[in-house]
Order: sequence, then C-alpha cells, then structure tokens
Amino acid sequence: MSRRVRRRTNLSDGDDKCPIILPSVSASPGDDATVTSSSVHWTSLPDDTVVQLFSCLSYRDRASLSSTCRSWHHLSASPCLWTSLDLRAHRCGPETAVALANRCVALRRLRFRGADSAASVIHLHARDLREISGDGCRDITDATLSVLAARHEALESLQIGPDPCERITSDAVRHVALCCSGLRRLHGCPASARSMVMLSTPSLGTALGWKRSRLKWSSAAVSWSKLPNLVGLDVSRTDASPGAVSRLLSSSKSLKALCALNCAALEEEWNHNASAFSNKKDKLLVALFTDVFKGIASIFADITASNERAVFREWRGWTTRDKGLDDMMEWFEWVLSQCLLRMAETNPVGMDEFWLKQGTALLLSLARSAQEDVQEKAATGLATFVVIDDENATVDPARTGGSDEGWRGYSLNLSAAPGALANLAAHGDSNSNNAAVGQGASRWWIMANTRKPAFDLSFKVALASKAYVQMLPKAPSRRREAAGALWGLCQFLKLIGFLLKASYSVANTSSEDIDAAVPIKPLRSKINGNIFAYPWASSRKGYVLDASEDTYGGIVINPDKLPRNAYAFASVLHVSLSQWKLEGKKGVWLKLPLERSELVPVAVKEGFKYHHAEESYVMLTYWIPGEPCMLPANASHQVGIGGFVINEKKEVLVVQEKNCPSTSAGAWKLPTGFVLESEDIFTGAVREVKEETGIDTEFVEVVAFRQTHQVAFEKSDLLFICMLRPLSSQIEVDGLEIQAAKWIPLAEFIEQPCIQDDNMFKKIIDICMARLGKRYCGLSAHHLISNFDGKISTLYYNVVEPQDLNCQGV
Amino acid sequence: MVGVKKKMVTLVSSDGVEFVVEKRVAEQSLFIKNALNEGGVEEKVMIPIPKVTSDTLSSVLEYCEKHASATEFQENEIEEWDKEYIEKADLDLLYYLLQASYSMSIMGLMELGAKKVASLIRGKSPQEIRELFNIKNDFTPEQEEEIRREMQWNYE
Repeated sequence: MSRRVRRRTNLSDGDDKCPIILPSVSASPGDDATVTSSSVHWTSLPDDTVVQLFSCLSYRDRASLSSTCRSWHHLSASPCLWTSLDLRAHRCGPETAVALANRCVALRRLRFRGADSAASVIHLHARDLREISGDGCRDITDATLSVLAARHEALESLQIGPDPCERITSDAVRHVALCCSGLRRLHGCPASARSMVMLSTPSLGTALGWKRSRLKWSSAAVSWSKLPNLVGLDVSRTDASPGAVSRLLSSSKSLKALCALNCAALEEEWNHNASAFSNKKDKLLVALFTDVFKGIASIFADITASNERAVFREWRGWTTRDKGLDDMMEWFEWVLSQCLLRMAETNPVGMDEFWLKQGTALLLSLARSAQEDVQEKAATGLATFVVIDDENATVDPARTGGSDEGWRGYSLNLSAAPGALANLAAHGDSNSNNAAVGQGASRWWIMANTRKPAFDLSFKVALASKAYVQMLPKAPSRRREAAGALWGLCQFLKLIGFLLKASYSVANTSSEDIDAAVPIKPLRSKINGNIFAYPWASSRKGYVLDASEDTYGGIVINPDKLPRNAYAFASVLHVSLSQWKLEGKKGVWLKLPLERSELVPVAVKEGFKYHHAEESYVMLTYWIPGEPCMLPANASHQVGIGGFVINEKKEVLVVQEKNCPSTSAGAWKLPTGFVLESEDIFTGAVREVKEETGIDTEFVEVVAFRQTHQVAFEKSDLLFICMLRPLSSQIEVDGLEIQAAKWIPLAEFIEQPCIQDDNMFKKIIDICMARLGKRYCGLSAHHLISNFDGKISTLYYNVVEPQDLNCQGV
Repeated sequence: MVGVKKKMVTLVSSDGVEFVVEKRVAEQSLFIKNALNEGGVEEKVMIPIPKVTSDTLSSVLEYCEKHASATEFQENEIEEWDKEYIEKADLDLLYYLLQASYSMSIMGLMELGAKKVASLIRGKSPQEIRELFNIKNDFTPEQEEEIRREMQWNYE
C-alpha cells in the first residue's frame, strides 16, 4: 500500500497557497497547546477525554486517579461513570454507601454481596436502579427486601441468591411486585404461590432453594399455572413434586419453559415412567433426563438436529434480534450456569452420565455467553467439575478423559474463535479483587498445568492467565511461577494474536513479573506474517523497525520511521536485529539523518559500524553473521579533472592557486578540480575551467588519466586530463580559489621549473603536444544506453575506423 | 481504479505543514467531515487544523488512513494494528493524540488513547500518578483527608 500522506512545508511551497492557515495560527498563538513539550499539561485535557479515561479504569484506579488533583476529582464524580457498580469485593456499610451516594444519581446496575450490604443499598440514593444482583444474601429479611423494592421502583431485574433466602416470605415478594411494576425478571426469591400473581408484566421467575421451605407444591402449581404472564420457571435443585410439575406443564397458559434440573423426585418418577411428563403442550421441560440442547433448539424453527449443540452460538450470532426470544435465552443461560455450577460444587452422586453426555458441553457452551456472570459461573463450574482435589492438584481422569470429544471439539472452536476464552481471561482482570471468584483461581491454575493433550494450548493459556490474574492479590509468591508457566505455554502456541489478547490484561496488571519470567526472545506470528516481538507489549516496545529489502537481500531501515527517542530505539533495534537474524538476513543499512544523531551511539553499541557520511546523514551498517562482511565498501576514489586549454595563438590557459604548498607557490598550472556527484567528466572539466577562469570551453578529448592513492581522506584519486577548445578569451578570475589566471605562451609554460623538473607534468605536456601535432589520439566522449542497466552513460574511447585515424586537431 | 481520480483534501497543521490525504481518510474525523459538508463544495481543499502540530497530525493521519480502509482487513487485524500503533506512542504523543482526537472528533482514536493511558495508570498510587503526569497536588490538607475518607471503601 502506498503512503498517501505527502508532506510539504510552507517554505518550499510559498504562503500564497495556504491563505486560511495564517489567521488561525496567529489568532491563537497563546493557546496552541501542542507546540513544545513543556506544554504537556495532562490536567488540561478536555473533560470528555478524562471521563473516557476514567471509564477504562477499575474503581480502585479511578479512586487513585481522582485523588491526584481537584479537577480530576471533580470529573470522577460524573454520573456517566457511575451507571454500573460492582461492590461484591467490598464491605458496603452505610458509611460507604453515603460516601458513594453523590455519584450514584444515574446508577443503573448494582451488584453486591451479603445481606448487610443489601441493607445499605438504600443509602446510595440510586432511585433509577434497573438491576440489582445480590450474592450471598441468605439472611436477607422481608424488611430489607421491601425497602429495596420501595426505594427502587424502576427495577426491572432483581436477583437475590444463589443461596436460598429462607427468611423471605410471600408478603415481601408481594410488596416487590406492587412497587416495581416494570419487573421482568425475579431470581432466587422464594415466592409463595399467591405473590407471584401480583407480577403483572411478563416475568421470567425462578424459584430456588425450596428444599426445606414451607412451600406446598401442589397448591403452588395451581396458583402458578394461573399466572397470566409467567413465561419461564426454574425449580432446579428443589424437591418439586412430579405432580406439581406435570400440572404446571399441562395447565399453564403462559408458561413456555420449565427448568427442573437435579430434582430427585422428578428423576425417580422418570425412571419408573418415562412418559410421566409427556403431556406438556409444546412447553419445554429441561431436566437431567431430557436432552437440554435439543430442547432449547426446539424453540428455534431453523436449527437442525445436526447443529443442536451449537444452539447458543447460533443464537448469539444472529443479526436480527427478538426481544422476547433474547430474554428467554438469556434466562436459560443464567439459570443453567447457576444450576450447573451448584451441581459441580456439591457433586451429587450418580451424575456422571449427565456430565459426560451434556453437562460439560453445556458449560463449555455457556462459557462463551455474552453475560458476564454467566461466563464466570460456567468457567468456574468447569474448573470445579474437573479438578477434584485442590490440594494435590488432581484432575479427574474420567471426567476429562470421558469427555475428550467435547473438550477437543471445544478446543477446535477456540482455535477458530480464540477471542471467546481470551475475553474470559481478560475478564478476570476486572474481577481480580473479587472474593467470590477468588477461590476458583487455584483450580484454574491446576487445570492450566494439567498435561492433558485434549486441552488445546490456547485454552491452557486462557486458564493460566486467568489463574494468574486471580492470584495477583492473593499469592504474590506464586506470581512469578504463574508468569513463567504462562510463558512456557505461549512458546508452544502459534496463535500469537490470541496470546496478545489473553496476556494483555495480565501484562498490564504487572509487567515487571512477566518481564522477570520472559526470556528476551522474539516471537513471530504465523497467521499473518506480522511480527510481534513481545507479547507483553506494554512493558517493552514490541515491534520491529520499519524496513525494506534491497536487491541483494540486505535490510534497509526506513529513516523516516525511527522511534521518537533513543531509549525506544535501543530496545527496538535489539529486537529487530534478533528478528532479522532469525530470518536469515545478513546485512543491515541504517541511515541516520543529521537531526537523529542522538541515535548514533545507540546503533554503535549494538554493533553497527560507520559506512559513510554526507552532509545530511551518516550511514551505518551491520553485518549479522560472523563471516567476513560482504557489504560493498564506501566509494574508494575521488575523480578530478585537469583542463588543457590552448588557443589559436598557442597560448595555454593557466592559473595560480591561492592555497597551495609553498614549494609550488607562484607556479602557473593547468586549472584542476573535482567532478561533482552525478556530473560527467566532460561537463565537469568545462565547469571547472569556467569557474576558475571565466573562459567558456568545449570538451575535445580525454588525453590521459592518472591514478594515485591515499590522497584526500585517504581515498584513491583519478585525475583526467582533458583537452578543451576555448570559446571565449576574456579571463575573469574567481577570487576564492585562484590567485590569478592568464594565457601563457606554450613555450613559456613548458619552461617553468615545476614542469621541467617533474616527470609527470612533463609527460602530460608531452602528450598534449603530441596531440596537437596529431601524433596521438585521445578518448572522446560517446553517449549510449546499455541494456545492462538501462542507464544513459558516457563511454570514452578512441575511434578505430580507418578514416578517422587522423585525429581532428584543435 | 484506473481513471478514477481520488478526491484529495489538504490539511494544514498548526505549524503550517500541509498534508495531502484522500478525502475518505480525512473524514475519519467528524470535525473534518462536517467542515467538508458545511462547505458544500468538494473543492474546499484546504482545511486548517488548529492546535494540532505536524508531528501529531501525521500520527493521527496514520490512524485515519488505516481505519479508512478498515473494511479491507479482518477485525482482529485492525485490533492488532491499533495495539501496535498506540504502543509506539510515548507519553507526550499520547497526550497530543488525546487532544487531537478530541478536537478533531475521532472517537476511535480517543478510546484507544484513553485505554492506553488507563493501562499506565492501573495499579499506581495517587502520588505515582502525579509523578507520571507531572500533576500538581492542589488539594488542601483538609480536602485530602476528606478524599481519603471518601475513598476508604475502595482500599479495604
């Protein structure tokens, strides 16, 4: 792709082309905030930008940032930053809630932990709350729940759990229904049969933890089946009676799905009579003895038997959304993940068949949910289910072995869409100080270390990074170990893009630990050929210098894209060289412009050598292998001309140089000079003569040339003696180099001691004399284009055709 | 593409350097897009970008150019490019990029920059953050104490 940005400066372009810019620059010279580096005032960032910055941070980091100065403290309270609050990691007493209150005006979602916290929630004064999710609220009372509902009338979702809340009575639930007319989802509150009637809008209710409750299933079923808007009901892990369930299934008009996993009574009934729940009138019953995937797939018209197992993925991938269906599927995800996690934790007997046939697959499928808490529960469920002994780090061989196919299939999916688990791993970051999920860390870690070929490596990395992230606050001693193992896994892994994603949050969390464990070694992605030198890009500049290849396979570093400072340059250069070495490259060219001269010592330290320099740059080279350097050396010669100009009166044009060795002071010599870059010898000769003497001439022939060594800058020297024909006679001396110039009779010129006593000068003059007497023929210039390189060049040669043997004299 | 002339616009940085870029590249900035629409004529080619120096602007345009042709790439390719791009920026450039993305209304760049800055802040104490960004602590001791109390819940 060609770069389409062209740069031109006003200097070269002229101001007239740019009439608009001038006023706008001169009008605001003072607040042009980006002119010098001293103008970097982070606190002068626009408010919106700072709010954006805050939104990328966790509460703890937000608190730190807002404690730095007044203006940021003020901005940290912006309502848009406080739409969602997760207090699960904190003890939320009334004081905390009061302290937070002024920020929570626009709070929409709240998660907390513990019944005490529930009582404090009202002090947040967050009247617009839409979702409340409380964990570990076993002791929540009627009074607390009633107040919660009364103060948050806009509630749409209320989830209290996962433990059974046995102190809640039907009165409280009735109160909730009265206060919160918009409630669409109610999780985990034991509701008596009658209170549910009060929920007027379409509800997806769950009823958890009924085991020892006073609920009379038969009467509950009667009341529930009359509920006009009850769409989904979850009675999993309860003692729901077969009669109640079949009654619900057969008589409720609104109910669409009933989830009854792990209900002993139902399973027993099923074993006796497999048709016990057949009269369900298109309702969906999800239980241990049903095929869950098939059941859920039956909601969709267009999912065939072959991709039933992908039903969740299919649904998530849909572009057209259906609100009712989405609600239903999200509810399924939530209920299933919750229930499976509990089942994995309590590990009831006789479940092996279920796990092998569908439980694991369900969890694997749920782990990719869009709902964060579903992901979290499913992933923790997986780990809990597989790792049977935390202390000895044992993985159940039957469980992982038996479901090999599932794992492998899942792993394959992961390879295709590695983002899913990577996100999960990254998700650990935001939960890293969450006590609720912390216990899973060691299990994740054990799984990550399992030598189980069926686990895809990318999966392992995700596990390891999740474990690592979760361990950060808890087991600093194991951090290094985790980082090292993570690195080890990464080395096997070819999916570097995935790795980057998975490790990004980890690296950001604590780069120094990773650095300690990571050998300095570049990695290369096989996917797209891009080079990621370090997966931990945040701690090191993880990229290779921009460069192209020359025709001989040498690397030519692009001088326009060098890093901005020497420090970055040093690390990138080091990485780049190792990378190029790996690729089998040999020579490296580094052209450092004058304004980047600070990089010269860095390059030299890395092993670069000077090649040559010009006014505007210095060229350095690096030869990678230990063999002798095969790079072409710098130019070895300088080229000069001497002009032999003689007029019709046999006078020679001579000069006296200003700065010459005292031995030749006062001597009259032929005008000489150097040929410039991209200049032909014949034009160089004409130019030099004109510059030094003001005489216009015409090139005739090269009559001789002389090679010497160790002249200027220890280079060799080629001097071409050119015969020139004068076109003018008026001498104008250039005062800079030349003292004087004149036409001198040939004889007088030759008689000078400096000519007579010098073999070379004498010989040159002899040749010129011979040329004048047509006894000698020089080399004339001929232009031609060679196919060899397609370039116009000049060939100096002596004409060989017989008719031209007599040279044209002057 | 032969014969189709690409529409070009010229952006002029605050220090007077002109950048000739394709219109679709420049329009990654809502500010420029609006400016072009307001003008009504496509011939309005010279757009001054006040407060954005040539150094910053060239970096911003690098971003715009990549994202203008985002459809040619896979999503994760763009993501990785973004990551590499922002990784190259040092702290000062980040600041200028944030300023520029705000004034030029390039939301994607602002988010990217904010994320990067956030990653620098993560896990640091207020004092460390002050040192990082060279921020003056302008709280009175009383205010500081109050903030400490206010933030207490976060550090338990």
